[in-house]
Amino acid sequence: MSTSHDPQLLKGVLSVLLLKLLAERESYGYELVQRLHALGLPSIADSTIYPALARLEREARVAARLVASRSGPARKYYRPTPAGYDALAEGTAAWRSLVAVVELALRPPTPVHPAPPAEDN
Amino acid sequence: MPSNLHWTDKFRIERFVRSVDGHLGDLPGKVRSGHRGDLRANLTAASADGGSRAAIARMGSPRALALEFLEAEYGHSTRRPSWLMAIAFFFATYLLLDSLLQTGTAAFASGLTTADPQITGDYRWAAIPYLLSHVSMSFADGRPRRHSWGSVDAAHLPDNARRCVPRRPLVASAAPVAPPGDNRLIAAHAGLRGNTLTSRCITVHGDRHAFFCCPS
Repeated sequence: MSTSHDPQLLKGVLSVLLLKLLAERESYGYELVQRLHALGLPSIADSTIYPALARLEREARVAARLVASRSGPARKYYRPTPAGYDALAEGTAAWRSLVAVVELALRPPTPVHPAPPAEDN
Repeated sequence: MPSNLHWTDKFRIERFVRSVDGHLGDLPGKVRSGHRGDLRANLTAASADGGSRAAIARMGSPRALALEFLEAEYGHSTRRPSWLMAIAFFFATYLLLDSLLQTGTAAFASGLTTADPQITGDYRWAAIPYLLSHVSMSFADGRPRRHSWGSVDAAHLPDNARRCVPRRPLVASAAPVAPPGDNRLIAAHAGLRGNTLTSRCITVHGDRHAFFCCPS
């Protein structure tokens, strides 16, 4: 799937996605960019992900450690903290609830013309 | 760590990193340094995929990225710690205080000459406590000849603060244990520590001895 996604919509769910990916495997910033692109979200910019990671780190939802790299400077690998796992669980539940409501609203076929307004009484 | 990148790529990356860093002046040094290192490592890794130009292009504007980092640190609030604001506040405060002192000095001189239009001699105004110790003025036939300001008390603030901070309690043998809730003045203990203290500064709170040593 390579359709473009609304950046604002993605921004709202980015923290949950990052926490989920980090819960699966410790990663550094650019690796997360690649993993998100591989998931089918190529429109997520690198410049969105690095500050999002910084925010998660400031909120103590991820912990970071430097790992030496053979191809350049040491990389900062992130992993979720217990608070991060809690946030992931909450975020996942909130997302599923939202999707269920939105899906319910979007499920009926869209009529060609909107119905006339309902009478007041 | 060795890098496989050409020096021009490294230069391009470093220029971008420094450009972002230039907008992060209001972040604590340690956080800035962390962002620089992280950004450098990520751009180096991204450059290996498609060159440094493409990697940097994907990052967008350095200023926008820096704003995102600032938001990550301080949230969306526009009230962020800022060196520029601190400097502006310092100068505004300085101008305000200077104006206050000039007005006070002029008022003092005016008061003296009103009381005695032919006033002669040296006069001293106690000035503003904790800001200016005194203002001395010399008059000759009702005309101010010169004036000088005394040392700013702010210079002595650290010393005053040191003397006013809570001190360690007296040793158990020297300090009587008061019943809980008893808040008494124990003037006698001022002498035990050899301080020149006023008795009101020494209190016993329950079984904890709190000594606030103020300049007498």
